[in-house]
Amino acid sequence: MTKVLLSVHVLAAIIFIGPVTVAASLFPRYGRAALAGGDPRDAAVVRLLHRISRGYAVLGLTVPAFGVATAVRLGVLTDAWLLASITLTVLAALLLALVVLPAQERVVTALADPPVATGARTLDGGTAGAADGTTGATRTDGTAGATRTDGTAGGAAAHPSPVDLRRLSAVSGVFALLWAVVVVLMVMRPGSITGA
Amino acid sequence: MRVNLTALRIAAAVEAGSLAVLMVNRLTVHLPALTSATGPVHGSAYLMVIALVLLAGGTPRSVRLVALVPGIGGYLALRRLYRHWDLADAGSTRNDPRPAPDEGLGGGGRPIG
Repeated sequence: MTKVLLSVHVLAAIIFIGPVTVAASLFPRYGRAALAGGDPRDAAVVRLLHRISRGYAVLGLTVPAFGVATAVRLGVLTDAWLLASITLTVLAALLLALVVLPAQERVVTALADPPVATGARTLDGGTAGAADGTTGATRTDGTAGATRTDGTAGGAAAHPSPVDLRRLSAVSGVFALLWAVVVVLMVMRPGSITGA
Repeated sequence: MRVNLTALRIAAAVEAGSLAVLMVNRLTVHLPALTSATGPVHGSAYLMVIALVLLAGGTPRSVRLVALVPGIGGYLALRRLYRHWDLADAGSTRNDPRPAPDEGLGGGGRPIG
């Protein structure tokens, strides 16, 4: 039974955590492209990447559930390498739930709002501003000069970026790094006689 | 984010169902293998119910708190959500009170509130 539990734990980690890692790592690049408004397919890709990140993150909860079950049967629940692994896993989960997924969602929501055409003329002769109630980007002069941290030039159907995509990229990378460290800890099990 | 109703219904069913299996097993044949196999399933479902309710964003606090109840938290949360929507619809001019068709993971469901 322990072998079954461990197999399920490893299988679940590969099948559920893998996609989250990939989708979260791709998200900033496609988010940038979609917000710049060049290709309308980019927005669909962004939505899909977010759905994958969110859906598989929820399914990924089976990984610690079966992991703890395995650890209890193996009697290693109090081993240092496992306690460290659990701590890092919790950290990764918190990063995902509190930083990565909400930031992704803000981008998806921003894409759903009508785009602001840069420099377009409105009916009264002024230039298009934040009158359409999109996410609270800072505008100083009423033209589409919203705070852009992604460094792109505004396209004809651009949205201002609601989050710092470079920061999102970094945090998504830290998430991946955390669980990669966990895998190494679980293989090597420092301080235990059973390590590889 | 909107609540993914299909996922929440499935998670609630697995949460309650696996607990039932565990209890019946314990009270009758008590196969340790069944306990070992079903335990983590129940744990996963419990965590998923909580995650789905929390990730939905904008759920009333009472729904979130009630989802924490072990075993039946999923169904309690669903009940409260339906009641919340019915109350919201009674005071709104929305035309279709029933949730939109579900799209699967991370997709469909009702906007909250």
